[in-house]
Amino acid sequence: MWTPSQDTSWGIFCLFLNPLRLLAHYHRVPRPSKRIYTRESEFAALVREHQAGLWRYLRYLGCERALAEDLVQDTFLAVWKRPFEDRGPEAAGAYLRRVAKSHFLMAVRRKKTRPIVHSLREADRDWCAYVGQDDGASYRAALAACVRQLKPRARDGIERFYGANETRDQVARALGMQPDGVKSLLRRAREALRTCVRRRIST
Amino acid sequence: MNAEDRILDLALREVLGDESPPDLQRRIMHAAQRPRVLRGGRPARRRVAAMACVAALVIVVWGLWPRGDEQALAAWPRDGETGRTLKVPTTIDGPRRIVFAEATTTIAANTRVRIRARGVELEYGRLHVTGPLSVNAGPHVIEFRKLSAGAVSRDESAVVVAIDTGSSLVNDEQQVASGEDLRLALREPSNNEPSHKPPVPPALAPSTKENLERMLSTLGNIGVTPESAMEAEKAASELTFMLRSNAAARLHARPTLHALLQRKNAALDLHCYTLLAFDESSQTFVAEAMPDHAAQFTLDTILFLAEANMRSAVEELKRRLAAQPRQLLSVRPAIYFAMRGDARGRATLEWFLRSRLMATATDLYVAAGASLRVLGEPGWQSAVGYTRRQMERHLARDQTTAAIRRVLVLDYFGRAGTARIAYLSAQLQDHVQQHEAELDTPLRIRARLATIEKR
Repeated sequence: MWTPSQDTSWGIFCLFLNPLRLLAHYHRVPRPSKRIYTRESEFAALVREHQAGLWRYLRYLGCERALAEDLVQDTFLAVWKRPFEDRGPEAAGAYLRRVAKSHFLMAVRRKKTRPIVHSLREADRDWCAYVGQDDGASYRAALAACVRQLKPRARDGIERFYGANETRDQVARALGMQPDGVKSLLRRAREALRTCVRRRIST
Repeated sequence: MNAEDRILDLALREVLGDESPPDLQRRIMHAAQRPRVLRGGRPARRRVAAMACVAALVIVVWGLWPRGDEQALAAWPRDGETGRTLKVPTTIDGPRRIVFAEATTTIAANTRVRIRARGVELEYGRLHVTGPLSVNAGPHVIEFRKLSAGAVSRDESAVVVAIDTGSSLVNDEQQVASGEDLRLALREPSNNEPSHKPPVPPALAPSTKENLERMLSTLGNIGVTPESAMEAEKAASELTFMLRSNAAARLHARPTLHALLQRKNAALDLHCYTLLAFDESSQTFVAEAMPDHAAQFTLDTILFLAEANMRSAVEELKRRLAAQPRQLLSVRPAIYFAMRGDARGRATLEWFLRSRLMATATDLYVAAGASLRVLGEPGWQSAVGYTRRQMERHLARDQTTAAIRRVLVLDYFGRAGTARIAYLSAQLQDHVQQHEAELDTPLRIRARLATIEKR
């Protein structure tokens, strides 16, 4: 559960109490005055470089696909109106994530729901830890390699469940298993993939 | 589901499934070119709306602001600047109005108003008239900001208001109470009225007339012989007493004094200006000459003119107070300004009382204390104590005359130390009985009155 001692969670808590706090929370995000792009092409390059990572980050926070697309657009429009100082791609990505997180909080408040993550601060830290600096490309490459190393039955179940978007019952019927057996199969497959990806990324 | 599981879940859907980040570049670039985005978001629009509201409010306030007061306020003397704006609180402070029931005269803008109370005439200020009031234009209301509060006490409601219309002073006596307006029915003085006739000096007693002419002649002989200067001084001193108390003598002396001024003798000019200061119709003339002869004018003359609200005299008083704030000569200017609400005058007065500089000048000390008492300042009590000690000292030395004066001063202070004053008055009566033969008649009468009242 979130705790009031954490700034972000406290901000979420306050959002439900006072709409003005939302603006204050939004305006607390540091925005250096110097802009990095003076032309439209520079802004387009910024969008091209960070849009995918931002979309994945919002999906990771729990946004639906459509909402994630809208929030990515809102984030870049906010940056377009209030440019920031260039301190490298990593800093720019971090700043864009903070802006996107603010928009995400506003959307959550509008819909009167709660984010699925318990702590936005921890979620942000975990995102940085697992995805890394290359926007998750190495993670996904390692994962693809690990999938290929799975046993045929587990790989078949994973590909059906995640690739073909089949339900657990459909997978069970295709593999001749009980639905609970598919659940255990998928859990073991995910654990194996998690271990494999960790090993590959660390090496 | 923890964070790692969520990341793995999303990555599997992206690696194995059809979930992939959409290309939003065109959409974002297109949205960035929308006029609403370029114009600014909701906070920016809110700022613009707030600024527009403030601007509208400013315009409305500016439009509703009364224009007529601006010039009058600009011309209004600041508090403490001339000492003419009195600040002693009374029950009738605050904005007041003069209501002209029948305006049958023309009143120019910035007309001077005088208010007289307690026998002291003070220039109140200037009427806030944006333009001249036409003749027979009907009732008019002229508002002014602050009544001369120091001149009108709580229980003294009879006020004489004089409005200088340029050609004459129109007086009207009003009963002023809290919350009421001064209602004046102004009338244009006709040519038959005395104000437009040349003043005819009333007849003087033959002896008085002879004395007056003799003294004026002596004054005119100044500088003829070495002894004449001293005789002129003596004549001027006697003339001062005579003109101060005798209005008819002032009228008789006026042409002679003006003629003497034509001789351009410095010493003679000084005497003439001093004597003409008692003549009300010559006060303006004397005040105009003051800047050229300010240093030679006596403090009495300047104070007299200042009490008549001559601006140059007030300026000279202010200059003297500023030049010598720590000298006994500045006590009376300080009293003058303090009584009119001036902060510097009051501070100077308090400093005098604290520093005991006036210990050798009892009358001044007492006057300063009395002034502070009128102003409601606490410093006056020390003057009471000092006067009482003076009186005891006089009684111990059998100085009955001085003691009587002190008793009268203590009596002026009123309730302060009443029991002690009664005791001293009893002692004083014994002294009066013992030394009655030595006292002149007026002092004997005053002493008896003082002691009888205390009994």
